[in-house]
Amino acid sequence: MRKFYLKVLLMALIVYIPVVTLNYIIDPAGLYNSKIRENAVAALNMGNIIESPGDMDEGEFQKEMISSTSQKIDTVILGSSHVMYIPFEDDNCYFAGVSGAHLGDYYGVIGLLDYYSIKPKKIIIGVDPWAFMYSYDKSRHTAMQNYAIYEHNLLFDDTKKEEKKEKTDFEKLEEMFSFAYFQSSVKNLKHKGIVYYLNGSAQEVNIVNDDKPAEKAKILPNARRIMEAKGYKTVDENNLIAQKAIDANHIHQLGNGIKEINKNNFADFEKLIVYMIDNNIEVELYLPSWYPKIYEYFEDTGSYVGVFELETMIRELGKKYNIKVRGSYDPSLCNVKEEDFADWLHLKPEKMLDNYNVVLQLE
Amino acid sequence: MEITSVSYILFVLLSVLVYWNIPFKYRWYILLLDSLIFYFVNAQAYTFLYIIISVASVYGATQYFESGRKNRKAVLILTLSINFIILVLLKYTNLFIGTVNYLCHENIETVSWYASLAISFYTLQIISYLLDCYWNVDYVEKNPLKLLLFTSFFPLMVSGPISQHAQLAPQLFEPSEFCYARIATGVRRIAWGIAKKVIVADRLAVVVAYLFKDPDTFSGVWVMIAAVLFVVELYFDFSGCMDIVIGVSECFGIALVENFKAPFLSRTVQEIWQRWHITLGLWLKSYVMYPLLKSQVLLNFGSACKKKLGKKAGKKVPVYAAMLVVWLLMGIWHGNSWKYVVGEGLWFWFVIVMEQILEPFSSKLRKVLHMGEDSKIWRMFQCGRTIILFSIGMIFFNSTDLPAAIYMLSKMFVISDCVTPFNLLINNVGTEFGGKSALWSMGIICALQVFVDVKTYRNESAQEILLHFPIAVRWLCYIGFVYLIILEGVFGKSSFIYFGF
Repeated sequence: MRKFYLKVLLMALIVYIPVVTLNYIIDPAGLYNSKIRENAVAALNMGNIIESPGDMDEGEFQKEMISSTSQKIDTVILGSSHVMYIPFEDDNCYFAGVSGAHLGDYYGVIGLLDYYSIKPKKIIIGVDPWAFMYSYDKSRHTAMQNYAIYEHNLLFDDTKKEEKKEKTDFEKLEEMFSFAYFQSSVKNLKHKGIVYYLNGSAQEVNIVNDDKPAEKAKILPNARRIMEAKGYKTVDENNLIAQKAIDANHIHQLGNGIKEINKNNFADFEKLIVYMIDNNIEVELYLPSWYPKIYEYFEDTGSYVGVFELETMIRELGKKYNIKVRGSYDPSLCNVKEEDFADWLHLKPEKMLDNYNVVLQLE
Repeated sequence: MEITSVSYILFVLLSVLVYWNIPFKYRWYILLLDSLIFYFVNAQAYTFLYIIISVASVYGATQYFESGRKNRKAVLILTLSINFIILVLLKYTNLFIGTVNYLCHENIETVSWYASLAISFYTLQIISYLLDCYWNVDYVEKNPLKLLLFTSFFPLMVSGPISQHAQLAPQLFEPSEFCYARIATGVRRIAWGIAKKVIVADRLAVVVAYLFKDPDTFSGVWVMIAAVLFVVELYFDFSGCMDIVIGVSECFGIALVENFKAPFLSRTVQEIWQRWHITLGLWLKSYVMYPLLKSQVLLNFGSACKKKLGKKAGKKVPVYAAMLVVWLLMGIWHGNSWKYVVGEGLWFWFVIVMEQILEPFSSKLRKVLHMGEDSKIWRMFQCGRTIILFSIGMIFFNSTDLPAAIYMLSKMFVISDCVTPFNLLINNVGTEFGGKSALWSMGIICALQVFVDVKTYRNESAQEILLHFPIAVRWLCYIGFVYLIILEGVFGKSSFIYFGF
């Protein structure tokens, strides 16, 4: 029996010492070492512009920013990277966009605003077709998932869902022993090297003086992002990448097709809009234009008709609630050209603003 | 609580420690407690009532048999009815509603009743006990809690194997000594099962789902590739689950019956079903086929056939008729959809009957080709043919419904381009699949499985070979293997295919 105990203990130690150690040190989602995030948020709250730390969980960052902000927020813009770079003039505009935002992230951000009693005058939502491929409780940025559930409960008075908003200490402890988390840790370690983690680089935040595109992406005090310089590609490069995606029949976030918009998820979206209107918040919806070559592909193949369906649904929603709908997925309607794009997905920031300013009068 | 999760491993470890440290007469209480905990963590609590009803009815019936009173047959029929009605109501009401809606153009709403965990498995298990007691080939359990443990023994509450009371009960209730070697065997088996599930099955699942989703693009030979890959996925999934279940039981000193025995080395479809989900096949043979063949109806039918068709055919036809019933039940058992009845039932019945009818022609062909029964080429041809026929049946299993399965099969006969779909597959599932390291680790596990299967086919133990290595090498293998699982496994994404049956 003793032999058995000893071997169980030995195996447990062999397995778990590296797993726990690496999970704690590398900490890919910033569960245990929030210092980098805290440093970044502190620097931003003091009005600094910083280099975007590569390791930062965007959901956690939004949580930290919204919970600690003291700045006046009149307008909140949320959505995916299609809205994270728009150079609005308004000083009181806060950027709550997160990469590839799903419906759950829209809910998560509104949940955070509600939870921390921040009531902006206007909310702009950059609506992407992939957002409706997932239900409200499947935030892409899981750090905000519980706020999405919180918000949904608030809207629907759904007592079935728990109202917790943070990962509990037990859940964090569980994650420390998680093999999936270990795999992410190993991936990060391979990518950055052990020195990066040992010499404290992972904790450092670099403050910069200007908001011009540079080697690294930047974040402004209102959480607006500045693209890294190498993010700007030539038309030829963009066409090549777009063609590859078309050949693979695999378009960013939409996979190999979106044939219809999930009605339940859209109903949840509508409920969110109605809630904001009822709370005297002005709502605007923005449809970011797709790269012309990609949009042509949507038109040629029958696999992406959900994109057209969503634009129609959003415009009907606009009419129904008297909401301004800006932009259009169709680049030709907004006079958007290939050279207006930084890469095959994102317009150049100033062109994003032009695109946002387009309000089509469609019948 | 997924059985590949750390929480399940901890649960088992804790149970094993408690189990072997208390006097033997109390040990089965620990197993009962564990079984209840496992059940309530994994299923809707109220569904345990169905298990209680099954156990209570069977317990009552067996006590009645034991008392020697009359009307045994009526009590048997009543008890069988209770158990089958629960199973049918919970699992097949929606099939019935769906069929009525389709045939009568009605719009009756489907129901959302929860069946108890592993209901298809434990119902067969407890019915085998009931019938064995009725036929006086098993002893009657006096303690209802012991019968409850036999029915709900937690390793079995995932996907079987369907165990017989006469084989399992003595191990559950009779004293046994702590044996380190058995626990080590069990642990190795658990690790092996987890590797099969998280390294091979879960990764293949991504590819299979993609191929099955779009038969228009993946037509022609791709349909067959999809079907074979699904069979491989299912094998690694289900047999991996069985490895874990058998390994866990072994840690408690309980040997369960094997459910897989190198199925892909089978030479006929009949043989593959004797090596794949063995306990289900044995159950159907013992409790349906043999009683049917002995029934007056089939005996009379056999006599009539002999008179009309001659001695040889007259002998075969009743067997085929009994097989038809068995295979229909096999299909129905698999789930509440007609796709199972056709794919898992009728198709395999048809293939097996054809195999038997065409056997003389097959032998003649072999002789014409100057090949012996044990010729390697002939053997490979038979194995390949068997896997293809088996995979065709499994297309039904993995399709969303019967029309989808038929559509996919129809696409098999389309001449298709091979390169474009391949590029599509690589581009679309490459990242989710996990890249080269995932492919390598999958290759390692698959190669090891081939080795294990060959050993199993020869009735040898693959684990024995490991024990011949020096201890340092052995531990290096263990640690390497565990890290292979940790680094290359897919965690927390899907449950076992047969979980919840």
